[in-house]
Amino acid sequence: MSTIAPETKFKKFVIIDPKVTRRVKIIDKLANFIIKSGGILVILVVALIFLFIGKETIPLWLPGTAEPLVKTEIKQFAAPHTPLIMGVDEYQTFAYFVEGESAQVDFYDLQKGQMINAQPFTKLAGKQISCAYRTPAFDYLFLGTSDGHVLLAKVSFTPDLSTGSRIVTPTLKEYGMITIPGTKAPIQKVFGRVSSEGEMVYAAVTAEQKVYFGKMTLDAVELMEQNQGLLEGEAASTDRESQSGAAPSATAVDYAFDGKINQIAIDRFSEKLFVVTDKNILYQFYLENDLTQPYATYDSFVNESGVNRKITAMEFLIGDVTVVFGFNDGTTEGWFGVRAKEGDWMRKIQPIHKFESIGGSITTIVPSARNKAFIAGSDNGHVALNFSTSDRRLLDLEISGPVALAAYAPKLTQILALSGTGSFESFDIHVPYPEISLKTLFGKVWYEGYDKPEFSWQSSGGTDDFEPKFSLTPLFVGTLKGAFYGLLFAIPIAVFGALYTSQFMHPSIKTYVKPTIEIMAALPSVVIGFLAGLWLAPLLENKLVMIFLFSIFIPVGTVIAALLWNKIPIKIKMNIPPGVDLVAIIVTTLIAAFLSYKVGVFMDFAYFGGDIRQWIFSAIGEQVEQRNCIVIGLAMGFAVIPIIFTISEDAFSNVPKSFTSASYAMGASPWQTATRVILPTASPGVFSAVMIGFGRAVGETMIVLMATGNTPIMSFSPFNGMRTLSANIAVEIPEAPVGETHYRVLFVAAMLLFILTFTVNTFAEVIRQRLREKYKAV
Amino acid sequence: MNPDSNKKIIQTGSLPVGKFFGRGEHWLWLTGACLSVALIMIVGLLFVIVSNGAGFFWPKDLTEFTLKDGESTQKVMGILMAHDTLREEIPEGKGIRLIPETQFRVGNRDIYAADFVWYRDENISGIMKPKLGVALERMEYGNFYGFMESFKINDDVIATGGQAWERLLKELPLVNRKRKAAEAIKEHEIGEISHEIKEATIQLNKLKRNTHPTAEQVSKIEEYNQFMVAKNEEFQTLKDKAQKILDEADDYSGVFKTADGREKVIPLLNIVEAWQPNNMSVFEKCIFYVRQVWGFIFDDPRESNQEGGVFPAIFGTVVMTVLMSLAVTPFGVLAAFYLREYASQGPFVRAVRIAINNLAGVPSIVFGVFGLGFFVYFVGGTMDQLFFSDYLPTPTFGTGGILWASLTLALLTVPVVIVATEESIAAVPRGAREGSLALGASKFQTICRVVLPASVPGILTGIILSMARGAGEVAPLMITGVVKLAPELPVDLTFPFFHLDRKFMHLGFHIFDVGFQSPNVEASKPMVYTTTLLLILIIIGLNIVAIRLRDKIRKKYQTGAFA
Repeated sequence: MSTIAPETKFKKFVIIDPKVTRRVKIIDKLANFIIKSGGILVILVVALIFLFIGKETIPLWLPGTAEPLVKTEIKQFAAPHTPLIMGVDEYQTFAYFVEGESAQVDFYDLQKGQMINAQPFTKLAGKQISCAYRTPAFDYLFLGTSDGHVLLAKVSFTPDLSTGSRIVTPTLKEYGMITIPGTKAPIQKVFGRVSSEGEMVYAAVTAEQKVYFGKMTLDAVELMEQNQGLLEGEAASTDRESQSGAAPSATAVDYAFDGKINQIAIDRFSEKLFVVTDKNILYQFYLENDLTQPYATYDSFVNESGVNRKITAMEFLIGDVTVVFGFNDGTTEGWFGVRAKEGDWMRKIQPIHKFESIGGSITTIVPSARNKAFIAGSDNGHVALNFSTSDRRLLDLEISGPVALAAYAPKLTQILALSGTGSFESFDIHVPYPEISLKTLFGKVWYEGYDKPEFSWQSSGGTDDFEPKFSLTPLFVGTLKGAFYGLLFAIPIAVFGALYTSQFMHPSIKTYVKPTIEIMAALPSVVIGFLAGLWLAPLLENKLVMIFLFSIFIPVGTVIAALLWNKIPIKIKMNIPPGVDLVAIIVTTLIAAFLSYKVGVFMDFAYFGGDIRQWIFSAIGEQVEQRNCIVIGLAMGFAVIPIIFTISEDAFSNVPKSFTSASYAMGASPWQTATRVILPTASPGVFSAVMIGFGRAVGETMIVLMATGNTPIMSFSPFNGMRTLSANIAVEIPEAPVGETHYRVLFVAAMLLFILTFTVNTFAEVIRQRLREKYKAV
Repeated sequence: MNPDSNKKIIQTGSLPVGKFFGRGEHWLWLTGACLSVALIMIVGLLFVIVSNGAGFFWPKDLTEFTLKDGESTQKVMGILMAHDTLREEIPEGKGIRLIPETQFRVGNRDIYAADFVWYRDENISGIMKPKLGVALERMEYGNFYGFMESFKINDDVIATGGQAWERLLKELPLVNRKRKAAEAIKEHEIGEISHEIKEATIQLNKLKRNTHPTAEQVSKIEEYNQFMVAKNEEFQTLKDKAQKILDEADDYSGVFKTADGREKVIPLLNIVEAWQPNNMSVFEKCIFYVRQVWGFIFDDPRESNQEGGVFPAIFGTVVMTVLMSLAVTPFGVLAAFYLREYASQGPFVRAVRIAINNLAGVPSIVFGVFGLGFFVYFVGGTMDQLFFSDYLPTPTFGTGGILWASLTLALLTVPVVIVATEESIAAVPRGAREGSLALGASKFQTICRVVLPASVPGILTGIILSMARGAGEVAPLMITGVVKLAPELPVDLTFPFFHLDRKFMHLGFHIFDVGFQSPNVEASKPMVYTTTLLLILIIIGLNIVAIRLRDKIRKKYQTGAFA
């Protein structure tokens, strides 16, 4: 072999202007560069799509972080002068503390690290605060006094931006005193709720171990104070108030509790009341049902090692459905009511969310005002941030000394903790996606108000205390369901149709059939979806019998027609132009379809009482929706048939001619050749066609969006609809706020779709190319 | 087997039943039945769309009949739409009876609540087709069906009966022209001024933000203030001008009567089109049909897209598709040339080719998500911060728009162009290429002068196919910039003419929106069918061109290869 390149040979003979050659060379190099970089760029973009979508989902999986911010000693708060309450404003400029003995609020400047002032409660002059409760949102304070009253107050912070920098001024508002009847002794425990509509609910425990509760508007509390002024020295009588028609300010729970009450919680509707005594008995009341008897009592709180734990802290999470208990072994648990049977409105509570021990004994639980997170503090100095829905421990922090109080900044950006030794510490926290874990995305989660753990997708609700449900499983199941019913219909039609076209059809007819199928492929899915949803679904609503008969009548009719065709004498047959047999088949199909319609209507009346949907409902208890899987199957099939058809037809046609010729030469019939030679040889191609069709069906958006009811349900029944990943993205992503959980979860859905289709398609493509290589040589 | 039977088979050509099934002859027909189902589906779908979509503008006859409603009877006039049977349960579980019923479009949505009503056939009697029945297409409340009583100018009756109709037909085009003139003023001139005012306000706010303005800035503020005053005056004058035109036209009105005798005064300004369907010849109907189709294509939508035309949607689709092909062509072709001519063929290129092929199979919604996250929020958001910070927090490019939608679709369709281009490059005979190289041409020269010209039809096929795909795709557009009603077109006469940040309307989305998100689904159905027909005509047209083109190339090179 010669090593001399051909062009060097030519150079000897051809005179070339060197300038031209140089220019040509430069242009050639330049073009080389541009085309190469352009080509590589396009390929990079492909990778970029995947990487970008992936990148957007990464933050979901990052763990929470906490930065220590303030660490100081506040000597005056060392035990036994531990304050009753700690809070912080949303700008994180002040922490405030309620002191019991002096009945005042201390404001602590977090930036400067010093106490700035103390404001006494004017209405509590000369009295002491015996117990206190702070609502998680808006800093309402319920203060039990040493002489048997409850004071409702509020700490608010007003920002002033007029000077350019923000100056926050704290103010203290005292609404009014509620007199707890029949006691002058210190209130033992108090709990309260204030709704955004200005409705207040409280519960208080007297020294006599009696529980009182009340519900009134904030205005009424203020007004009552004025009345109280008039009735100075006289105990407010609940009798008189109820006579005058106003709601009583204090209603007694007429029950003798076993032991000394140390925990109490009431929900914002004053419906559910939980009481814990020092004998470790938990009482559950449905106040509207019975004021004298608990609905249920619980006294067993056995942990995994069989030890009965003691409840040391109790709180409601936002929404007042889940009650969180802190135990003396450092564990916390979220409990909520579960119906014993359908229709019950009273529910016994049971442990649903369990969190590992942080050691020591839980001293305080502080719920978040925005989501289902809560802080648990333990007497060994650990402060844990847990998230109820996802069972996630977001953070585990440590301070010096036993945790006495903890607080959550309103925008969930800081955690503050005060220890019994007066050590005060704060942390900047960053846990943006607490509700997401692999379990909440793909597993069963026991959501509030549900009877059992479920897969559920419900991304947004009307209220703040809504628990978002981000399980992708029902969407995934919906996607597979849609694809399944689509393929169920499409595979036989497309594969056999392709077999007929490639093997049994006259080539002159083929030139018409193939472009028709290509047109079918080109039809926008929005058109198919529209027709399926608005035309086909109402049309087929009552014709389930007909659909069923189709699958019997068309094959049977075709076989009969084929037998008849067989009887046509050869002399006539020879003169029949090609394509007439196809026309005959089409006509047969149409006749069979018409017959099944007629028989369907008849059978509908004869056997199903004229309403097949009602009949199915009473027979199997399944509601037949108008936009069901039969409609989806037909519509999706329509979209998928041309793809499967084209690729399988390709595979059948690529089977080497010599194979079929050999088969015919051995005396095989066309069908025998088709099933024993063509199909096995082309089967990888058919398989890849089906895979690619599956990929298309999985990603189809508009058809499912328009032709299903879009309800995310976990069901494979053909009589109802579904919601698919793709339709879900299309519906929800325009409304999802950028960068937040919902937005990123939808990116996870998109990535799932991408991975699923890309894998399936690559697999199919590789198989197809192998097949092509294999028979290239033959 | 005895030889006689074989002989018989050969003579008659028909097999005995046992042999027929044994040889699987019936399967041949069964596979044919599968194909025929697919063919019936596609033909049926096209038939449904054409029959529902094409007939919408044909002036159908008005039917008047007496409706029994309990004890009372009532005259009703409308257009017959459909027949159906209702299933009614006979009390005491005696089964079910079928009641034939008929759907009429009775119009007059402002008088009756619903304009599409089903009546039981048993309650209908005395069907006739009144010659003088009038149908009006109105700006509001849908169609009106009734009879013309008189024609009024300012409350004075000018003509009655047949003369009134004549007068109406004479005045209606004039009034319509005036309304259009007023609309044009509002849209273009007033729109331009309000745009200028908006710009000036932003500049002004920017200047005012300085706490210690320089003298130059103070004078600028003054300048802007004067400018604003002048523009506001101009704004008012134009508004008055438009109002005056409308006021003039508002004097004319027609008095109509519904079939059940209710009188209705309708100002001519509210009437788009008036016709007496029962009194028209076939030729007149044809002209009317063409006019209606024209209006459908070139008018703006009305009544939350349920009536009027689809011009903005057509325009939006075209602009988006053109932008998309401008973006997709160079990159697709570059990538194809790279893969075919420059990259060394090996496992890497094979993998890339598979990846590109598969990109075509990635769901379009995934591209939409990418477009939203990358183009809209990332690129657009960054652009807003760099170049349009004056407008923030109102996003300029940081929200869905036609540019982002086109780029998203370009990504979606790039595999189509790459595959088609590669195919056509591969079809260029080796001989042609080698000949060029042998004559001393460089690689690029060969590509430019030999390969590229030969593959142009193939590239065109790819572009046309990608346009067809792009024009029909809806899901990714829904999240990257399509809206149900765009106040302004993405290309217009206001500087800088191309407004790539604007949101736009799209035929495919129009179908989804009108069909599934409009308050009155029944009333909007004809509109959806017609839009669908238009869309598939465009797409099938593009596809047929592409298929033809491709066949031509194939034929050319099948022979060319051996020449």
